[in-house]
Amino acid sequence: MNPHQSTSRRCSCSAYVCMPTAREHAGRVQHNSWSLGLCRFLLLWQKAQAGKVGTITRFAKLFRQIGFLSFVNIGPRVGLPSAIRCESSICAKRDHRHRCFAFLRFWLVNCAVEVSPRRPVNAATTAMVAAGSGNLKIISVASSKEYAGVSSPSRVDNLAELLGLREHRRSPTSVACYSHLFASSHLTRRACSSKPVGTTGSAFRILRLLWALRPQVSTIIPTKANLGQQLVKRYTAEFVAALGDPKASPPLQRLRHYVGLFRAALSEGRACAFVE
Amino acid sequence: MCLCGMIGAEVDGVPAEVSAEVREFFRANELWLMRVFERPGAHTTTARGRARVFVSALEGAMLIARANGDTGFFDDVTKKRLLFAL
Repeated sequence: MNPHQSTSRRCSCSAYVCMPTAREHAGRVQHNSWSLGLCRFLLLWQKAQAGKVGTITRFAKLFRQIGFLSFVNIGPRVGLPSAIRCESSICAKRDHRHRCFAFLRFWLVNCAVEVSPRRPVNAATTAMVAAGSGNLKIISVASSKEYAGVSSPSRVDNLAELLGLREHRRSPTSVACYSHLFASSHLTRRACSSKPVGTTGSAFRILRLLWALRPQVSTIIPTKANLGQQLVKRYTAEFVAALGDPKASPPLQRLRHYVGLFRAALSEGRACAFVE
Repeated sequence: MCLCGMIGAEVDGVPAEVSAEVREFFRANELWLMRVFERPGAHTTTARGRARVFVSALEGAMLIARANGDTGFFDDVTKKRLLFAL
């Protein structure tokens, strides 16, 4: 679903992203497979957008097979999942999971992508990425060759620790820490030029998807309870705003307006009384 | 359907934070309707009572209309409520 094609009618329970929950699946996934999981997720999303994956149910099934993220379809719209819940099967170690999510969050929020020295793409692809993604930042972390077998979040953590940005070895690297590293040029933004910058073919697809994804990511919520809380809170706020001032017009007119909000939801089979 | 009406029906199975927000939704509805119903010199409890009856009728009518697959049921109930609301 292209966010730029969104209509003026938006359900108040759409476009929430939630991550992560506390469940762990010890030993199921390798340390650095969080990025693979994300890549697969985004590629699947891309397939779904292209119509290769028929229904949200099938998509959710495929997604569960990955074991990285799963969909919770709480809204009426099919195509864009109304909520994404991370199953947190990234790593058995709690602190590592936090590190992964700090990195992932930073990535999603800033539309940044790790640049890998492996499998570079050509200049034409790079230029296409740059042209297609106006708000794109490409971030380079230390080369995998220098840290064989160490995942990207761990490499950033090592860097943060060396610079004294982490208080304790086991404390998670925060989003603020990533921003600080970026600001101090320890994480570098690579300019798109005629030279290959080292983005991989997968990264290219991810870049395009992230570019499409970003406007849809409105909130990052830690737990399912928080997701429900935020959903109802927003629903209430939007509903009250739609009601307006109770003294603005004659009482009967206000009551008709009040009834009309519910009536519209009922006739259209929506779960929300308010549609902006 | 009303989202909070649906969650409210399952309040035992939802987290405390969510049920608190659902209560807040109904409280906001009640306050808004109270403002509509209140009359100079009249007691607040009268307006509160009317507000509660009105929102209850609406939520109930939505539920039954949904179950029956008949939006006309909702229209009938709301029409009568509006006639006697003020």
